[in-house]
Amino acid sequence: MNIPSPRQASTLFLKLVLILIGGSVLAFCAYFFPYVWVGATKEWPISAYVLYPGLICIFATIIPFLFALLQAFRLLQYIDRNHAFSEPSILALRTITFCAVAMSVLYWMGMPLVFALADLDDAPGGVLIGAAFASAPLVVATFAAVLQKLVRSALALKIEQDFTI
Amino acid sequence: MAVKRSVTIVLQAVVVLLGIGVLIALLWEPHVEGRNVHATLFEMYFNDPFLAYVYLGSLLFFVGLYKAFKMLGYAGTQRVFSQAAVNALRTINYCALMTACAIVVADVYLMFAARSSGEDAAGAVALGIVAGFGSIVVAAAATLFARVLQSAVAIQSENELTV
Repeated sequence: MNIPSPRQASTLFLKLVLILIGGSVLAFCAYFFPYVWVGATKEWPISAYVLYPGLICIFATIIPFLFALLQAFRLLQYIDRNHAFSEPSILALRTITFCAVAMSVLYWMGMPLVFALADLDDAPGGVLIGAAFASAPLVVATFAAVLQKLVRSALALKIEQDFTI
Repeated sequence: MAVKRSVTIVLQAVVVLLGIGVLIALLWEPHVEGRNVHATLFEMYFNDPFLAYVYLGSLLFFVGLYKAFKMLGYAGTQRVFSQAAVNALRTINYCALMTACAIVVADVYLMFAARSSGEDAAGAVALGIVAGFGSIVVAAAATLFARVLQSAVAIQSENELTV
């Protein structure tokens, strides 16, 4: 077996981190969703029309989240195989952008529940924190869009090089 | 084919906000809890070696943020595939690693200090573990970006030589 190069070591580490994050988020949701779903009506006197759609929206963000993690994993594989500047990695980055935007939209759709909860606890700051969480994926989306543009121009350079040789 | 300036400015604004947020949190925290709550303003900031260590250790974090700001500036111009950008990423890697080390040392100190005084430092130590782990992830990502970018720089310089 070969000793991994420094690049492979860092991709391997990042892959493990992705698995760790994905696994723990999945376990957290699987463990807490039933409790919250059943216990929420007892704990919070909120209209069911606000509560259940809100809970569905907020927990549904795990789907685009895990999908984006999968794309990031694929991206690391492309880097490992020296295919960092390729159409598949552009596609992966574009999918990450879409997933992040979808997460933000889902969170904003769940915001009425956050409003109701903040009102219940008389804590208007809760809305601000909720809005910050709902907007954080947009930063990731912007970053992925920038990376996509950079990979695209690097790919253009590479194609140019292939033609000259 | 550079990235749109407006897009990178949004990311630069996020970096600046993050820096300001962390700075305010660092300066404000001694007022809220801990052994310095009832100290005068001078004693609070200049009489506590641990606080001085925390401020010193966080300096490289801000250097890393500054380099990230510069890096995003390069991404908005034609100078992305340049040695300067690669060096900026390497500096970010170094800063993130040093920040992680500083956090680990602070955590170890907290554990021993808490044991000798019989207090509970579990919350602070856990926060340190999370922040240290985050720094190491950032360091690994920065190394990876630096290497990938380096190959793009190589391609570009080769192209310029042939043309």
